[in-house]
Order: sequence, then structure tokens, then C-alpha cells
Amino acid sequence: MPSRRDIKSILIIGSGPIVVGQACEFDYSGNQAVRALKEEGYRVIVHNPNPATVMTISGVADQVSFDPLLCEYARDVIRRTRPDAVLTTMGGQSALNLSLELEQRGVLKEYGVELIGARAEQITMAEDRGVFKALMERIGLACPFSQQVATVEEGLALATRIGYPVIVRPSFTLGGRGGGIARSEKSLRTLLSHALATSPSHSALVEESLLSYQEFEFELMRDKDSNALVVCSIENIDPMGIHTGDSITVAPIQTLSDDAYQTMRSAALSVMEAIGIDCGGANVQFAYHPATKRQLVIEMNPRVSRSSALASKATGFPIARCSAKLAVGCTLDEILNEITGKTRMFFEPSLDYCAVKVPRFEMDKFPIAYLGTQMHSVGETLAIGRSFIEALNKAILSSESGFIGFEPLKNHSLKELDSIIKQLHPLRSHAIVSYFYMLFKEYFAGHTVPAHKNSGTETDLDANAPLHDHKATNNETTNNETTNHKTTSDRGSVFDTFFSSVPYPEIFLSHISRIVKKTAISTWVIHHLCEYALLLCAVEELSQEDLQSLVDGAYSTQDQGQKPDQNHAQTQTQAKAQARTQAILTQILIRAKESGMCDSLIAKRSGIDEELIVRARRVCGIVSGLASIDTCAAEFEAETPYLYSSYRAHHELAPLKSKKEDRYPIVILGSGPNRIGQGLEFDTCCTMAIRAFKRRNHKVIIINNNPETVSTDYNVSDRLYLEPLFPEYVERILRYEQGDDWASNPKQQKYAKHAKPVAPMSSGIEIVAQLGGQTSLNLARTLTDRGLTLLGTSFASINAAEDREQFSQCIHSLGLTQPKHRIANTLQELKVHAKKLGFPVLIRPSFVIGGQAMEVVYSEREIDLFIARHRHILSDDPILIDEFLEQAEEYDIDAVADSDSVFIGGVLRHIEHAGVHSGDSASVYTPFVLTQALMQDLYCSVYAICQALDIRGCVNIQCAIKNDTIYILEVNPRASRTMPLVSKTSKVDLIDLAAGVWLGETLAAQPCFARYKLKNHPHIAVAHSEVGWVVKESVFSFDRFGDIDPRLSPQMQSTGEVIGLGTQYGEAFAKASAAAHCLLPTVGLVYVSINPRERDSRSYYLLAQLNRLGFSYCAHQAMCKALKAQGIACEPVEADVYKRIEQGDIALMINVPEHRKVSSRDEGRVLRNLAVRHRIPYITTIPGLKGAVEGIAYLQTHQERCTVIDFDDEAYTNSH
Amino acid sequence: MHSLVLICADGWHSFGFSSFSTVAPTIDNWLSHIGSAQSVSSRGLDQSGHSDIDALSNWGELIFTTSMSGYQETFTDPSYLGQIVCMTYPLIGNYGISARWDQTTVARHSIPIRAAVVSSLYHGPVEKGMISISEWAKRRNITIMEGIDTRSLTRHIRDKGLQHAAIIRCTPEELDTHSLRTITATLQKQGSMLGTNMLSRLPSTVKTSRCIKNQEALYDARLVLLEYGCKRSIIEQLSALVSELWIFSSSASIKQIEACNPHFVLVSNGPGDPQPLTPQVELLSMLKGTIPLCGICLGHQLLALSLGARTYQMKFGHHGSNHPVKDLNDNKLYITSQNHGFAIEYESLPKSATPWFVNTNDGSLEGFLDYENRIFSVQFHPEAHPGPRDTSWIFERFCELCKVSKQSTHPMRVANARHAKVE
Repeated sequence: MPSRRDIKSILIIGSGPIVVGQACEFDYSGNQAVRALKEEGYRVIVHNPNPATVMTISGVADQVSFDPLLCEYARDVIRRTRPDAVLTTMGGQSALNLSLELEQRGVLKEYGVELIGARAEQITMAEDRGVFKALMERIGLACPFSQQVATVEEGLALATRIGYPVIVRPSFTLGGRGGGIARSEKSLRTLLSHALATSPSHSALVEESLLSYQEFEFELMRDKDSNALVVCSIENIDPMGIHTGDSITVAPIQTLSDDAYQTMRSAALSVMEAIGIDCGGANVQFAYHPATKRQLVIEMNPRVSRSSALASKATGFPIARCSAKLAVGCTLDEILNEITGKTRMFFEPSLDYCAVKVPRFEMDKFPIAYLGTQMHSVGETLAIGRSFIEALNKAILSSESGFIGFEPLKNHSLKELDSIIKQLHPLRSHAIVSYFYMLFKEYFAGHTVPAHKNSGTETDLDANAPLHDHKATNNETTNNETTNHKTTSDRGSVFDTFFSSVPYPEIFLSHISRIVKKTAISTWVIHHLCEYALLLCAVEELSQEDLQSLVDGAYSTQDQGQKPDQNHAQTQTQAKAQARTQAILTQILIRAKESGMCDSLIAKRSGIDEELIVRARRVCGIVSGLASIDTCAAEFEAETPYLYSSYRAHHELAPLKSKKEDRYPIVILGSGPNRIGQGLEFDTCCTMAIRAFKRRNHKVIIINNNPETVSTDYNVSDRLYLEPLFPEYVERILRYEQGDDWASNPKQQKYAKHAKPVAPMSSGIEIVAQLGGQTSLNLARTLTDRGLTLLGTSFASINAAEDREQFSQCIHSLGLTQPKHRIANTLQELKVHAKKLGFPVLIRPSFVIGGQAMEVVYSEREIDLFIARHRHILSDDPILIDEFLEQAEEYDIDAVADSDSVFIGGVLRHIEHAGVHSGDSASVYTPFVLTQALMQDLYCSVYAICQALDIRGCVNIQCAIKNDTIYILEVNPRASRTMPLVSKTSKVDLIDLAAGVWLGETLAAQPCFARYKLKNHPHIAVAHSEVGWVVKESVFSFDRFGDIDPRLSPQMQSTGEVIGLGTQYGEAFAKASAAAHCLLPTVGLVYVSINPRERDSRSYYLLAQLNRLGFSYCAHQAMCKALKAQGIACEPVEADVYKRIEQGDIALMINVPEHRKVSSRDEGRVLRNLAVRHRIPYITTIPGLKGAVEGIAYLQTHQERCTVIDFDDEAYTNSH
Repeated sequence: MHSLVLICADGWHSFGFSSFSTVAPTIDNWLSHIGSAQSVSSRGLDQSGHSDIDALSNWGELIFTTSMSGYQETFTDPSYLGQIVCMTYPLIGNYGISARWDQTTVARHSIPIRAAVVSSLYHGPVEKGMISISEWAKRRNITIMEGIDTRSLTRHIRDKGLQHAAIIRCTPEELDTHSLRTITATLQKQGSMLGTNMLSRLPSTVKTSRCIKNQEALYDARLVLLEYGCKRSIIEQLSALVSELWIFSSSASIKQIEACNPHFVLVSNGPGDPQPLTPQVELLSMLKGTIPLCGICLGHQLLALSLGARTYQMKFGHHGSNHPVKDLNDNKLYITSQNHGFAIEYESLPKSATPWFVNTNDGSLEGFLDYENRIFSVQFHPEAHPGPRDTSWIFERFCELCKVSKQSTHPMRVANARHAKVE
């Protein structure tokens, strides 16, 4: 049955800005949905204020609105674009909520629009806990027990019935304040009385605790004919209590028997049926107690989610695409499985690998003591392997979190490790490995390894030795392992243990059992970690000499040919011993590689040169195969598979190079996991580039590991490698793709010819490293060393831009200005240099990303404080000190250059002054405040820099202007955060231009170049916003992290961004603020405090203006006085300000601190924090205040009005 | 650790290992047993079908299953009799083995499969009450070969079709071209499963008949189950469903069945090719028309043969838990558990029979209804174990099709089928 013909156009609501907990997975799903619906012939409208998304790129949807996701704007979007239906399920919780509001406020009825995907009643049913619970009981499924109580006694009685521990949640408090876990009657009494006091309704929810329950998830699909299936099952390694976004997860489910699995599967399907989801996907979460086999339904999301993006990537089943098609009435058996190209989407993917997701935390920026029910991670990586540990190891390597794979933690005692393991610490799995690792070390050193038999109750594990029975048949191991007082020789060497038929000595079983108890992580996982720790020990025993002789031996056999050895007894024994050593070496290397250890990690642990390890591996024929993800475990031949490497796999596909064209494909390096400073924007650049290359009939390969992104979608590129962005893995792929594959059939034979030093990669295949942010640039550095060519800007140029000295020289030689700066090689030198430059100065340690530890200091004393604060990251690397340009205007320029011209896509003026990280500041495009002459100067400087550095492709230049002088701050020879934004609003696809440059097209020959060419400079073209005023506002996730100062600083903290479009600055600013969840008030009381340095005529003018708009002020005494002196009425407040904030009296907070860092007790910081928690709009800079005043003025006089961009208008068609 | 090699009849081979003592023979051992023997299909087998050579020699038809869960149910499913099973899912044994999940109903301690090939086997500790898979394999004397790239093997089977293979204990150094050639030549001589009477090799321990009674069953009916290698979960489902379940061995005569006076007869699943099972087909032909007949898997094929349809050997069969079928009556789709290497030729179905289910992947016949002869059967496994339970309603439908009366006093109890009392 074809899709519905009674609807012609569909509105898709996006999820808005990236925040912790709602990231780019919704762009991925939204983008799939747009394409799926366009395929079915619908007109598609996208509503999403996030400018970095792929779903809002020209040519994806028919119309786009960047307006805030608020009912008023959405209503106007509907009024203007007149869709027949709204697809609710693609934009996460934001879209569901907005859809519900549109329904409840009658907007949908007014315009005759229907909700598709999930309808209002289904959304409420799944979201309302009471209704959901009742429904579950009706279909015979259990939910965790919970009940509302009003008195302490009631609570105590309840707890006795359900058993401790219990969770207490006071009703109607913000962010679960006043709640907690009670483990005894005593603690429940205290907790509950406190909770009841905190709660405005004097009631609290007492809930059974699910500690020690495991968490499982099912991703489901169901169509209108009630055909339902399970796309993917996911097991959370971490137990209940840790948000699934922060858990390490593995797909498919590993530790459930078929019986338990099928019971859960059937339950999941019946939940979906009961809720009535009949045209789309959903996700059901279960808690399961492994000992009692109790199974509880936790929740159900009637939409695509982070897990469904993950499940799609892990299985090859495009959930969002199917959901969209089901929403318009297709059935599962009508949709083609594009991966196999043969089968239909009604099937359950069968995996023949294991997919592991690892979260990425920003521990430096947002310190987290322990994990909980609220999500804290900012990104994630997915890795695939043929074993759990291989996938886990690759995923950790991919997450670029400072570990080169699964490494033990440094410098922790067993006791410290134990305490990390007990807490829900983000590095818990590392700690467990370290724990076993140290235990093994002690064991092999002959020390006592205590058994943990008597710790707590009896072990749950079956230690009565089916595991250890084989010992009798094995003569390699000693039988005395269980007794603890043996010497090393009695226990045998690491190798003996490693090669024994049991995984590890029996004494470790009790430790496994103890950790299982403590962490509620499954035995299966802990076993693997223990086994891995032993492998680490074995790897450390590898010796350089043995490996060398292995490699040399291969040489000599090659030299001597098959000449028989002389029959000396001695040589024979020697040969035997050598053979044995070699066998051991080979086995350890195989195991290490099959466990996903990268060569660098093996080198690091064993102290052997990495190159020797590579050569030894090649001699032994240990190479990875590139296997495909095909949804069907190889049962059918697949057409568009994507690939992963594994050491227990063989190559399946020929290199992508097409024989006819004789051209290598272009390889794009992705940007890896999302993090602060490197997020969705870079992935969007990659996707835009793929489009551009495809348009030019080039084959494109992408390497990336972020499961949330569009670039890792199966049909975006010609070939996708889901792999770590790490030299070893990337080199492997590149060598394979250019046919320089030194071991394409890893059979276990000796590869004498491979003992030669590794030849550099032959040039031929070209990679694009400008799009994946700093990750890909760093990777390019290593790869160029190994003989690889970069497309576009050469590595020398990149270096010249990044190396401070070279860069200074370049700026100087061009006659341009830079802020004065110095380099301190020691901490002592810091003060000397700072004094010479004159305070304030900007201090930044080198080799940090995203402005970590970058600070403005105003005095010598503050330098001491700075050192004290950052001692742990300050190493011997030089520290840069810059003159700090106070109150300077900052500009961001995005451009594309070739050997002879430059196309400036946009000049963005930062709204905040210098001192705020460019990723955090709001900015406005196009800046009309510069004089014509200064503009010309700026353009010419950009041109000069590009020419001098020989930039080919994307470039982002940051500069500051103070007193009509242009200071060049930074040149980034890569795509920038703002490129997608500029491309969309200028209607010139900059990435497309860059792709042209990379392939040898001339910029000057492009039609858009002629259109925007400067009159007086034939080599420069400057585009501008085609959609009026554009204000970009950064979005923060401060509310996720308890004690954080939400002010802007040189250190980047934002997680996402939004834009606001308008015909006036005020309109654009107001929209951007609203989209960033900072709803400017139009009336009310303003709390104001401005630091003395900035209490100038400008700020008073703005405050007076706001006063005239009808706002009244309250402030602390000093500020109050200052205001009154300016003739502005102000109410003095003291400590009662906290109360008034909590009561909601304050409509807006203006709190402008100095740039310096302050302690957590600082009053300003406490107030800012409070504003975040109570969701009061707050302003922390004077330019921000200016924007807000204009925005408020606009809002007071205008109705909400949307801006819709039509993509079929002429400007777009012209630019391509 | 023992080095093992898996050798296919066409010469494809791959090395792996077994980390516990294994029954795999050495090359010489294997050649002397098998090489001297004639083609197995022509070799006379004793009634039990299990000769020493078979037990020792680790060869059989090589198939793969894509089921990600339920390794124990797979290894103990009598339909896999004599086959080497390759698990495409790489991590096997994660939660151990429990007697509860055994599917074999015959000879409690014999494992139907000849050997298993997996990528990695879990050797860690298991929960109390379970035993580890390696321990289990040792006790039951079956070879589980580890360390193979099962995906490559699967692709090989998919591309080249089914063939025989052997697992032999040997190191890469020991396997020279000559012995490889001799082994493959021997394997090639074994022919295929086609035309082999696997039923005769099924070690039967069922006495001629036994009976399970369940007063609380959903249907007041007497059912005869013809046990041709039946999975235990079929018996469990049925015993919860009908008040009187008679289980007859494959040698049961028509007299015995008729003496039982059943409301209907269900023909079970079982191993191998249905074509050579002439006595069974004859039996069904005689029963046809007199008593309603239902079938599952092999039973379904035998019933089709009794109606004059033809069967064929599939290239590599359907083995897994994710096979989509469509109910042609209402176009509803189901995910099913399947395990068969033979299928019924769609066109050969007689006029009296209408297709009931069809596989939406390859269009093969998955079930038919013959109201005239009162024969209703499915190719897939509604009893699951392993696999999804989405089609467990088929058992009830069988009862309804056979017009068996419902016991009025008792509500639905199918969900609790497994807890039914077994006499």
C-alpha cells in the first residue's frame, strides 16, 4: 500500500540547540526523515533554530524556519507554510512537548493540521507516569513500586513493606532537590522529614530502589497493520541508577538467556501495542534483576531517541527513515532494506559482531564526582568488533579522552581504586581493570593476594570449578594457585598463567565476585576486564630482543632459502626454544590485537618501539580484516554495507577505486565524538563536503565513530568506516583503499617479506583533514609523516598557521598587527612577562583544546592563583601570554581561498567583547558597525594572510578591533564552527566552494564569486547575509552541572548554538535568546550588579533605556547607590535577594562580572548559579545587555513572527 | 589448547582451537576411520544410527544459524542432527548452560549436533545453578571449535551452498597438501544431506508411546504427537494446550494411532530430508482424510509429500530467529524462528491446499491449509526456543482448525505453557 495521499506537506519539528541529553542524534533522525518523506513526494518543512544541522541545509527540506521552538512561533510557521501534518517523533522531547502544546492550545485544529508519528494521546500516555503504570499493570507487566506519602510514618510503613533502600523524591521541587536514597529506617526518617518540608505540597514519592538491577533497552518498530519487530536490543554495562546516556552499552544483549530475552522482547512489543504506537519507532527500557529474574518496565519513549540513533548505526537498520515512512502509512514490508538491496524492512537485524558505545565526559570543564540519574556526558563513540573487549577498546580509543585505548589508571593504590569502583565514577571500568592489573602484579611478584571469600555473603558465582577442572589435563600450570604463600617460581611466570587452560588463577574468582556485588555489573563483563588485565601483564612481558629476533629470523629464512640446518644438537634445542618463544610472542600479539589494543598501547605497555611491533605483527600475519555491517550476519549479500575492522575478520569488499575512472576516492576524516568546542558543526561540514564531492561525481569515503551524526549514516557517503580516528586505524584503511595492502589475506603463515621496515604510504589517495575540527588536523599531522597527501592546504601551511613563532613572523612580514605577546618557558617567567606586557593579560597554556585553563588575569597575585589552580595541567610546555584587549570588538571571518583569490563568506561580529571564547560569544552577521575603510582593510588582510600561508580551501580568521586597529588573533586553516551557519544565511555553500578548490576548480570562475566580487579588488569576493539580521547565540548546559559559574570566559563551555533571524537587530536578538531558552521578559523587576570597571556611561545609558521600557531595578547597596546617582530608581536588596529569586520575583538578572575567575563562594557566582537553576534569564556582559534592550523593545511592540526560508528560491539555484 | 582445523568438502579450511579436551580425531585417525569407509549413505547403519565412526569423526553437513540468542537450544535441537553448526553471532556461552533449556527429547545425554563452530566461547564463571558451556561440552562429548572467523565461513557457505565438513585436530604445520586433498576427497564422497534418511539415525529413547495429561488445559482434546525428533518446547506448549497428549515414536503404526482415537495428529519437526522417509509419508497418506493433521517443519514437509507435493534442498536453508513470514489470510507479518534445509516446491502443492504463510525474504512456502483433507501446517517454529514467540498462537489455531472444543472453565493459559505439569 502506498503512502497516504490525503496529506501533501509535512512539518518536521527539530530538537533545537545541542544540550547535554539532547544532541545531534536528532539531526541525524530528522535528516533521515526529511529525505524519506521527500522520496514519497511530500513537501517538507523543517522548524529548527539550530543553524549547525544538516536538516536545515539548502536542498534538504523545501522550507526551513530557524525560529525558536515556541508555540507562538510554531503557530506562525504553520500559518505561513500550511502543512497538512506535523511529524512529532523526530525532534526528541522538545518536539514532543511543542507538538503537545500546539495540540492543547488548539493551533492544530485552527489550521487543520494532524499529528503523525505519535499522536497526543499516545504521548501523554507514555509520559504520564501514573497512566503509564496503570496501563502496564493492565497488560500484566510490573513497574517499579512507588507511592505518594504525606507523613513520615506513612513512608516508614511503606518502606518496611517494599524493603530498603528506597528512593525519596519530594514533589514539585526543582531538579529533584531534597530527595535521595535511604538505606535504613533512621536515614529515611531524616530524609523524608526534610523532603516533606521542602516540598511545596508537603508530599513526597517513596519509590523502591533498583540498585543492583541491570538495565536493558529495546528499539522497536510497529506499522499501521500492527506488524511489529525489535530492531535492536541494548544491554547497559552499568546498572540501573546511571543514566543510559552515561552508561557504557553493548548491542545486542549479551547476558540474557534466550528464555529471559524472549520474555522481555514480547513484553516490549506488548508495551508498544498497549500505548498504541502504530506508525513508527519507540524505545522501551527494562530493569532486570539477574538473581531473582524480576523484570520491570521503566519507561517508554514514543519517538526516536539517542538509543535509536545508536541502534541504527549498530545494526544498519535506519529507524528514523522507517519511522517517517510508517508515519505516512507505509508498512514495514513495503520499505526496501537499502543495505541489502534485496530484503524488506520487516526483519530483525542479526548481528555477527558486538557494538559498544562509550560516553565522553568533559571532566576538565565540568568536573563530575559520580554519575547518577541525570545525564552528564557530552558525546559518545561507537565501535564494533568481533569481541566485547575489542569493541570496548576501540570505543575508548575513539573517545579521545586521553587514553590510547583501555588502559589502567596511573598512580592509584588498590585502596583508591577500590573506592573509585564503589562510587559511580566515570572512570570506573578503567579502575576495575587497574584493580585486577595490580592484583596480578602482586600475584606474580609472589605477594599474598587475599581471597575475598569472607567479604559479605557467600559468592554467587559457581566457583566449584567447572572452570578449573581442566587444570588436571594441563601440565603447564601449577596446581598451587589457591594457596597464597607461594613464591613466584611456584606460581610460574605470567606466560604460564596466560597460556593455561583456565582464564586466570582461581583466587581471582573471589575478587570478580566481590566486584560484581559492589558494582552490580554483570559477571560476564567483570570476567572480561579481569582477563584483559592479565593480557596487559602478558604484553608487558614482551621483550624488544625477542621481537627483534622474530623479525630478524624471518629475514634470515628469507635469505637462506630452504637450506637445511646443520644437525647440531645445540642448534636444535636452540631452535626449539626459539620456536617456543616465537609461538608465545605470536599468541600474545594475536590476543592483544584481538582484544583491540592498538600498536601504540602495546608499545607503551611493553616499552618496545611501535615500528618493531608493527613489523613483528606483519611477520606473524596478524592484520585486521575489514568486515561489513549488513543487517543479516552475511546471510544475504549486501549492497551498501559499511565497514569496521577486526582482527577476527577478513576483507569482503574490493577497494572503492573504480577501475574505469582510475581515480581514488576522496577520504574525509570525521570529527569523532561531540565535545565542548567540537560538535555537530564539524560533522555538518563533512556531510556538506560529501554532497559537494558527489555532485562532482567523485566517490567519497568517510571515517568516523560518532553514532549520533549524519556522516555515519549508511547512505551519505559511498563508503563508511566506523573506526577510531587514530593513525593506526586510518592508515590501515588508506593503505587498503589504495591497494597497498601488505597482508590482505591474514592466514597464519609467515610473511617474510613483511619483516622489512614499513614502507611509507604511496601517495595517491587523498584525504580531507580540514573538516573534522582539531581531531582530523591532529591526525593529519601523523599521517603526513607516513607519506600521505592532504587535499587542499598543505601541512606546511597548517603548521605555519598553528606554530606561534612562524605565525608571528608571517603577520609581521605582512605588516599586520597582533596583540603583543610573549612566551613563558617556566612558571617563574610568567610574572616577568606579564609585567612587561602590562595587565590585564590573557594566559593560555599550549597544547590544550577549547581554551582549557585560558584565563584573563589582572594582577601578579592572580597569576599565583592561576598557577595554583592549574598546577595539574601545567607541564613543561611553554605558556603563552597575550596582551588582553579590553573592550575590543572581536570578529570571526569564514572564507575559502585558492592560489589566487579569496571568497569571504561572512564576517561575524561578536556581541561580547574580547575575552570570551569565540565559541561562547553571541555574534551577529552581517556587522554594519565598521567603517567602509576598516572593512576594506579587514578584507585585504584576510586576502594577504591566505596568500601568504598558501591556504587552499577553508579558513577561519579571528581578529579584534580596538581603536580602529585590526589585531589578527588566530588563523585556523580548517572549516569552522560557523561555516554551516554562514553558508545557510548567505546562501553560498562555502563547503561546496572549498570542495571545488580541492579538486582544482578556480574560485574566480564560480558564478557566486562574480556576483560578490569587490569593485576595487578583483581577487576578493565578500558575501553577506541574504536573510536579514542573523544573531547567533550560544547555548549552555549549565543546569546539568551543580556548581558551575555560568559566566562567559576565554574557556569554551557552550554545548550548542541557535540563530535568530529578523528584519531588525532587536528581532533577531530576541529570537536567538528565546531559542537559547532565555526568554526575554517584557515587564518586571530586574536585579542588577555590574562590576566597577564597567559602570560607565554606556551601561548607565542602557539601564536607563530599560527603565524607560518599564522595568524597575533592585540591587545591592553599592550598585543601588551608583544607579541612584544616575537618576535611576532602584530598590535596595540584601540577603533577601535569594528568597526573591526563589519566589520568582526577579524577571531578569543583569550580573556583569570581571573576567577574572572567582571562587565558588563568590556572591556573584552564587547568584548566577541560582538564576540558572531557577531558569531566570540572565545577562553577564554589557554588549549582551545592549542586545537584550533592543530585543525587549522589539518584543514590546511586535507580535511573534516567523521567518521562513524557501529553498527553491533563485539565490540557491544560482550558487550551485 | 588444541589446534583444530575445519575443512570443507571444497577445500576451504580455517584453523581454530578448542580450549578444552576435545573428541576431535587427528588427521590419521580421521582418515583411517572415514577414508576406509564407504559413502555413509550407502553404508549400513545400525538401528540407533550412531556408529563409533560417526561419534569420533566429527564430520557432517555444515550449516550456519544467524540466531543471536539461544545457543543451548540450538545445540540441543534434534533437527540439527548430524550437522556442524556455525554460530554467526561471535560471543557464545555468555550465561552458561542450564538443563531447563535443553530441547532434545530423545536420549537425554546425547547432543544432536555433530560439532559447533564459534568465534569466541565464554570461559568465565557463571551464575550458581548453571554450568559453563565448556564443561557441558566436555561432559556431553561434543566438539566446540573456537577462534574461527565465522563470518568468512558463513559467507563461504552462503556463496557455495551446503556441503560436508570435518573438524580435525591438527596444527597448521601438520596439514600438508596431500592430507588436505585426501580429506576433501573423502568429504566429497559423502554426498549431501539430500536423500539421506536422518530419522533413522535419531537415537530414539521414546518407547512406542507415552502420554501427558493436563486437566487444566485450554482445550479438551486428545492429540497424538508423532515424534520425529521433536523439540521439547513443542511438547511443553502442547501439553499446556490439550488435555491429553500422546507421544508416538517414528515407528508408530497406524493401528496404534487409531487405537488412540485422537482428535487430531501433529507431526513434529525433525532432521534432514523428508523425501527418503517413505514409511512416514505412507503413514500420513493413510491417516489423511480420516483425522485432522497438523505439522511443524519436517512434519509440514512430510504432510506436503503425503499430498503429492515435492520438496527440494535449499542452497543453505533457513536457520535463525529473524525470518519474516506473511500470513496470506490477513497479510499480517511475523518474525519467526526457523531451522530447515529443505522446503516445499510452491507450485507442487495440490489444488486442495492453499498457501498459508510465505517467507517475505525469498518467497518460499512457510505454511499451507488444506481444508479438504484437513491438513494444516507451518514450516517455521511457533514454539520458538530459541527465537521470538510471536507465532505461539499457531498452536491454538491448530486446535481451532481441527475443531477441537475449548474447555470453558479455564481462561488463557498458553502464556504459562512451560509451567504445565508434565506427567
